[in-house]
Amino acid sequence: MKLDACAYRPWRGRLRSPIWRFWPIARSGLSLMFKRKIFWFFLLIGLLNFLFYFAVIYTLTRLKAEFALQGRKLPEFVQRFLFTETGDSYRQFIYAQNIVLMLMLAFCGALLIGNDFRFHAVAFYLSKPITRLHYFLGKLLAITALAALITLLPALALFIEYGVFTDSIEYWMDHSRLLFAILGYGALVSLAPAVVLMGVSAWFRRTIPIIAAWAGLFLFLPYVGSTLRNFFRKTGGGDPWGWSLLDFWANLRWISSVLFGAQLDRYEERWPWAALVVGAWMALAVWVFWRRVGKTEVVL
Amino acid sequence: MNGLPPISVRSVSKWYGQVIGLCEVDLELAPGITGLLGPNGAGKSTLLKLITGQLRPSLGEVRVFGKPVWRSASARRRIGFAPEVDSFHEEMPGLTFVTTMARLSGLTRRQARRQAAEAVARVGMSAHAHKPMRACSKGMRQRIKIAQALAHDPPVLILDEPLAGIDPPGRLELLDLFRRLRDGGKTLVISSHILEEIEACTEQIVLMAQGRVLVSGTVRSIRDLMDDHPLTVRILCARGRELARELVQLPAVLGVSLARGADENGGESELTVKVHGPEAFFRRFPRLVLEKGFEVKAFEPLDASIAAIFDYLITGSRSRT
Repeated sequence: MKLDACAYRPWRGRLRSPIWRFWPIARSGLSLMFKRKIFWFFLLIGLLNFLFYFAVIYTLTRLKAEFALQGRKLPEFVQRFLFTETGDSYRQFIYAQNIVLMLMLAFCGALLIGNDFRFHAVAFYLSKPITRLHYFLGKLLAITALAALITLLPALALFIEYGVFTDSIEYWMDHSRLLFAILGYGALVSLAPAVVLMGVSAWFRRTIPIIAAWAGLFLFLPYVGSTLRNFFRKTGGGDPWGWSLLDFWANLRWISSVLFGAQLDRYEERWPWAALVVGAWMALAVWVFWRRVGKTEVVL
Repeated sequence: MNGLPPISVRSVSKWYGQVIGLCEVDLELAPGITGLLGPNGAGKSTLLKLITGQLRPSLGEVRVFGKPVWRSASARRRIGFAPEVDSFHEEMPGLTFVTTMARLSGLTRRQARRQAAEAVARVGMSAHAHKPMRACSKGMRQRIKIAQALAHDPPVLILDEPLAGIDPPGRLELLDLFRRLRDGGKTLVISSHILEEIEACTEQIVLMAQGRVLVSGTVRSIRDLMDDHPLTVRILCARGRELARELVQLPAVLGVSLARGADENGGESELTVKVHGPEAFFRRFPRLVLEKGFEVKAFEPLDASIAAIFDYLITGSRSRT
């Protein structure tokens, strides 16, 4: 089309407040991810676990109903198998998603953040009337939402399913605390790694180093922690559980013990330390990200 | 905008640790097109980033329509910036990218869509607007970048190497667009290393080297200031020997060389004249031609182009440091 042929109208309206300007960044980030086949692959893998839990809940609730009709109780081993109605199952489900979540997030970080820094595309965003905070929130929202797709949302769906198959609303009424616990743990599992990922991606920029660092954080560090714990347990006696704080997922799980009720976990007294470590990782990641965004300039 | 200068750079310096990116820069840019020229490492990109509020000056202040641009959303919404980089979200269609950028500038979704479509049309990309960026050529990407800078209709446009990678017809179209934007009252700062392109769309230039502004103004005024730099003029005329004899007597003329053999054949001669103090020469030369009745077929300053000035100043700045 010739330039002369287009009727360009100059903008004469009023511009909106910048408060919500992180949303277009999040939206474009999500749309970018949805266009990638590998994202759908990870999502599918993540949802396989959900389907398994879904089927187990269905089977158990049906069995329970059948046994109740016959005036019998479910055998204890079946009751214990997964669903104790205490919320352990939901916690177990969210925790079990960690490997898929880790892989998916590594990919998200490289694409949504690493590439921005690598190709200096941050300049596009920061030349607009937004701040670093908008950029940070936009990207964080996109990554957290993607993480929630395989953690928080399926866990909520399982909670709803359990209530639906018991044919009454009593389950939801009696276990309303579980709803908040699922929301809390699901949000934590989605948000905390997303924040750490932003720091890692901003620091390493390229896909392979991001994946290596990410895997080191979530696979190598727990291995080091458990090795050292076992070593000192054998040599010094007692349980030097502090080494387990190197395991990011374990820390999140310990924090979740508060949300789901302390009776769930014999390690519940460790959650403040776990929260401290997770908080420190997040703070470090935010600091790294902030510094990187502030240093996007290059001397040309 | 109340008579305030669109861009005002006051005593701005920028350090990157021990490295000086920009040193004591003072500029006031009026509406119209300003060409920003300089070799790599001259500080052009640093200056552009300071003007767009992406960098904080170590010293001094950058204002856009009287407002300090650093951390000022209201100042930055008056700026459209097309950076040099052209690698961004590869899966995203160009139109979506421009729409997202328009939304970041404060437009609502509907407004952003409309403005983005119009900006994309304006840069001649309507036919390829839905193509993912990875399928776009470098020239197409350049146009998309310019479209995202234009989408919210800012009064100031900062374009970093906007013509790089664009084919000759596309360049002509974009140069025409820049001229029309200028005619619409906008302020454009165009950074480029392709001097002819800058020359084709503006007379107003800023030359930079080693983090300093060497000179700013119109090409001609800059040339006139360079009294210590001899100007070379090519003259094509009959009776070349006679004209050469007259010219060497002028105080402003340093030397004349004559192409051999031309006069003998009764045709035209080509003279190359080295002139010291071009202004005096340009005043005297027409009078001389009229008085002595020379027939001048061509008169062409050979090194009054931006390229020649640029070479001279850059060489000078290097030898002074």
